[in-house]
Amino acid sequence: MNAYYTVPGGSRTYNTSTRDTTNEKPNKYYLEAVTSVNISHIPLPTHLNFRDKGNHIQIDGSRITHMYNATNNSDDVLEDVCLVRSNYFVPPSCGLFYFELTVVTNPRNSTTALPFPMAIGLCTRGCRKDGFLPGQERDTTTPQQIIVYGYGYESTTGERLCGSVQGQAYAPSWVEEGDVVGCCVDYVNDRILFTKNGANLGVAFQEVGLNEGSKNLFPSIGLSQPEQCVDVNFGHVPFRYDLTQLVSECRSSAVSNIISQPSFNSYSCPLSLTDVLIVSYLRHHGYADTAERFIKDAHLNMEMGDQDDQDTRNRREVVQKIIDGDMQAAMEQIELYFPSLLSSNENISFAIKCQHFIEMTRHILCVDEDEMRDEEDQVMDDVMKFSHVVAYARSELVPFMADQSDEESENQDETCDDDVEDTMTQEDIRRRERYKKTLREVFSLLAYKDPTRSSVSYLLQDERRSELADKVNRAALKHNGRSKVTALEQIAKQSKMVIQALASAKDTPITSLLSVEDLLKC
Amino acid sequence: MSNPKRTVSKEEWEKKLKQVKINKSDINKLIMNYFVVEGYKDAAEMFQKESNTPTLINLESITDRVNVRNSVQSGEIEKSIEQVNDLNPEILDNNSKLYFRLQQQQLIEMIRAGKLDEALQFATEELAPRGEENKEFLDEIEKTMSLLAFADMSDSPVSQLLESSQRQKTASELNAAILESQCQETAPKLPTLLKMLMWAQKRLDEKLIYPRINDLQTAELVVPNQEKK
Repeated sequence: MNAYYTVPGGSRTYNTSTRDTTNEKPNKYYLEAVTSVNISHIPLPTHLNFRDKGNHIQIDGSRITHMYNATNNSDDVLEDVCLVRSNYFVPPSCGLFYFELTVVTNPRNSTTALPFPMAIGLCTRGCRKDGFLPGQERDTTTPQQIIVYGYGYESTTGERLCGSVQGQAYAPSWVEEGDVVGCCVDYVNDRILFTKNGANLGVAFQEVGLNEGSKNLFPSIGLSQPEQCVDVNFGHVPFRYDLTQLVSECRSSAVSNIISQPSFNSYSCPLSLTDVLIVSYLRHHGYADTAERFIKDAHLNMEMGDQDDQDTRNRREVVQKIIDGDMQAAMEQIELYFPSLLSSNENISFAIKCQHFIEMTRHILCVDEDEMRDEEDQVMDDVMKFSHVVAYARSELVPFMADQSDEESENQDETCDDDVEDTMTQEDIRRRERYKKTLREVFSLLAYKDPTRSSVSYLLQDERRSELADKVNRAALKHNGRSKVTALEQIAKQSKMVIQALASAKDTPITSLLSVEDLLKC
Repeated sequence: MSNPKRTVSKEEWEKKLKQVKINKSDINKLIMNYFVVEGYKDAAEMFQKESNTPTLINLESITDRVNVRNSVQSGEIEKSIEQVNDLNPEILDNNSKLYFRLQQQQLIEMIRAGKLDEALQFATEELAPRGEENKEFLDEIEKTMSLLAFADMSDSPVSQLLESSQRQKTASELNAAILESQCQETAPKLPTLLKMLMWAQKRLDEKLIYPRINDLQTAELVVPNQEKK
């Protein structure tokens, strides 16, 4: 991109490169509202194009001003009307696009005190840049067939413009300085609508055939009078209108579009299928009681083998103990239900023992708060307790740092295979590094009088327990030869991946709005 | 085919699939949504306890729906009709198809219980007039009555009417109608996810040969048999 350009009819040069690069994400707030992972790679309109504008328009970053041209001293207002288009057209595959402008200055007619027209809208590349506001021009060469050059919302009348200088009644005017108007093009529902000062003004153009042919639409702004000035916003600053409402509306119509596809009606989703998926998910993650209640609530005929049931309950017990913070009991249960799991899985073993260390430290600190005792006794007591904790760390945690741990001597995978050792070294070193780092973190707990307010307070959070519980559950499943991923999770993953593949193939406007998370989070 | 489609091998696809992250808490929300929308209150309560997933609504507020569902699923159709009418008489007044479904279920329950006289009387007095108003209803009535033709009804070609899934289906339709009358979301999101997958896979088939999930129950990845290496 050229860093310098000349304003036609003028002599000043402007440096745009600084402005363009200050904004790393020119569509930040648009992308945030749409929250779709699928459109990040599609080029979107990010600013107005200084090479694609009418004579009188001057662009300075996001600000556009109508500059009176002294050489062109005409009284004909139309002569002064001009528009500017954005750098990129709106890609239909983004599903929905939105931009806004703010009226900065809007001079009045000195005799009538009436404002002069402006317009916000969308134009094709083919329309003229001088003489028309967005939406006003129509193709006169083919009178039978209306070729639309754009769509607009006019400021003084509040009319909508499409293929004619004559507009049609639509919404209020927007002539005051500080007024914010927005334009939304919705490819999912094939419509265009506008907003004013944060309010949705309703659909202006419906069933306009946005997806037909290759009608590329550029966000456009038209001005008609010297000194008119507006700021345009493609999402580099927050929008006045809360776009999320429109996005979720769009998204649900995208979803219902899919479900009502004629080719799709033949595929019915039997209740029994969802029930089976849910039950196996619940059992997999050890939600045994929920599974049982659900089977009863839904009157399902779903017997499970005693062994499955026992396995689920065992995992649930372990998980619960970890969530309760009783690591000693958790380790005992693991030894009982899943023998050799700890000795064969160094990572899990280390993680549980670290958590045990954290829990012991937590325990000492909690007791201190509750009990009022002789200070001297307390100091002695603490020393005793802390030395107990440190002793635990020395005997149970430090050996993990050793290059060849005696503790791991039972571990068949690591000790018996000499060939593997060399290739494992790199992995091993990284693992030891990880252990060292964790150990340093947990040890620093001891350094604080109130660790809950220290930089390592995250170690004491409940999430840590549930993350560990999840890890242990997965390891236990694997240990018993079960698949680590449930059908339901696999389906969610596959959906995400297929939809991403569709979106990058620029399939239909619908796909860009259908991330699995959106469905999940609604 | 002039333009050969690109093929993604199972290894390549699985490698990418492994990197796709789905939060467990999101799946939990999806399941909670299913429990709440479908009116499985006990399961929702227990799930909240076991998984720490918030319900987002007061579970007591779904009690009415739970009672109606339980009545249908335990075969007490008359009771369920009374309960729905207590909630809002317009639900059944405005939805003749749903009301017919319940009547049909009522007939099925009579047949199941072996109350033949009662069933015949109910069919002629209550259901037959409805069959006259709608051809679809008539087919359903005939289908249901044909259960009587078999001494052992499980031999009947329409024996699925007697399965608990039939009750569940009726209960879900009724549940959705109650939700609709309360201006609430009527469809759980989980089936939408499944449909979305089927739709998206079908669309992607036009562009790519890739491992797809054909059987949702096992969610196994299968490479279409055009290429077998």
